Amino acid sequence: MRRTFWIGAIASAVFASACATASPPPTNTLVESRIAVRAAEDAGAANDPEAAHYLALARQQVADAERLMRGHQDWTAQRVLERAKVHADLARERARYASARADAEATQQQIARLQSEGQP
Amino acid sequence: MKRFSLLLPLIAACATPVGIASRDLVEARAMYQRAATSPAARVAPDSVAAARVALKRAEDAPAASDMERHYAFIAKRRAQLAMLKVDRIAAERDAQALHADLQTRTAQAPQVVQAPSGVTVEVTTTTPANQQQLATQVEVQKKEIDRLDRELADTRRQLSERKDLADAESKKLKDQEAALQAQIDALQADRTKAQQERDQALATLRAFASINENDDRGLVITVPAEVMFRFGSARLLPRAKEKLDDLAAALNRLGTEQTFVIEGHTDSRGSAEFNRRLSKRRADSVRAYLIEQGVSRDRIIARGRGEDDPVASNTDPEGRANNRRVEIVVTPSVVGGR
Repeated sequence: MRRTFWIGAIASAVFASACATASPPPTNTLVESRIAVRAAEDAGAANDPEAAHYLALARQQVADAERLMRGHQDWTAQRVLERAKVHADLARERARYASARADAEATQQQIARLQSEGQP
Repeated sequence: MKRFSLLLPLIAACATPVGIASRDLVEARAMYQRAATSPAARVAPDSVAAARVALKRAEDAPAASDMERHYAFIAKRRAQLAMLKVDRIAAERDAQALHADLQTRTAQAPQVVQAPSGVTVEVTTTTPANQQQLATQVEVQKKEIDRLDRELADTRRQLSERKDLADAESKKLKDQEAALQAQIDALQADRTKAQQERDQALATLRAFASINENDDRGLVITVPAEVMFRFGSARLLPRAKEKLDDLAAALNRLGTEQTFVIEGHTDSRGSAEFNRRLSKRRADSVRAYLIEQGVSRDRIIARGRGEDDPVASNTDPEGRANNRRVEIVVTPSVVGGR
């Protein structure tokens, strides 16, 4: 019985020191948010004002969450990362939309030029 | 909930204006409904589902709480994302249609060829072999290949990062497990060593004393008074000192944290007052000698019980001999271990 008590006490002490906060560190969400930010960058979010706005928000929130995690405020960090992820997704989608619109406009201009040259 | 208040300054730049919480929820519901009843439900079902999950969390949160506002915000953004996907796909289709139109027009356009003679000749070609049409098609295909390459590279990078994360977590858990096991092993080794030392100490004592490990007071070592004192005397006999040397060594081996109670007992011959004082002086003598042998004075207490606590009848010589004794009581909290 006493042996069980001591083993239990040491196990509790180890786990108590290992888990200083109630919420686990949101490392998965952090990675997902970072990947989403990178995907938005790759999609050219910096080239469209609206996408760039969302991208800036996402970057700032990822940085905020990292600082919160260093301070073991994991619960709050999780909420901030949820916002960072959705902003990064919006940035990427907006960038792709803007790219498609620009492509369409450029093609339209080529067609118009051909038409102005008297071609069908 | 209090922790959430820390979130607000960090997300002030993007947070919805702080207002009535139910208004946030109403807006979130409205945006979700717009997305769910639009082509987004078919084109971007994942985003619509994510909006629905966030809306549910907002609805489940306490009214007018920060949690409600947070998830209402997420629900609105997810719904916005779903509708933006519809717009993006439509824009891409427009672009594709225009590309196709341009290809057709280009293929039908008359080609201007500089003839060797220096005369400009306008040639109209509509055959698939038209070089410019092919070049355009190749360009479109190259763009598509580039896009697929980027997506593939992105997916590979995501997989790699997830694997790195999983590996790091796995290593961390293994390290923690190993550290815990090492502590348990060390504890078990300590306990084994303590148990061996205790057994050795008790074996030494059994040579001249009786040992009761089941007494309510704890472990009780009983030494007959005749071994240590002359009749009516509290002065230790030389042979008693030899025994007490062993006893001191044994007590020290039992550990360094426990306390011991030395109790002197007599038979019922003589006055009770005399017997009580004699038993106290004998206990004091044993205590003093044990202290001389290295047992800390802070750990050892002497009591005289006189004739008040006999272990046998005082009507016969054998019983009285058993009653004349010195007992060393080791407290129960210590006997089991350190």
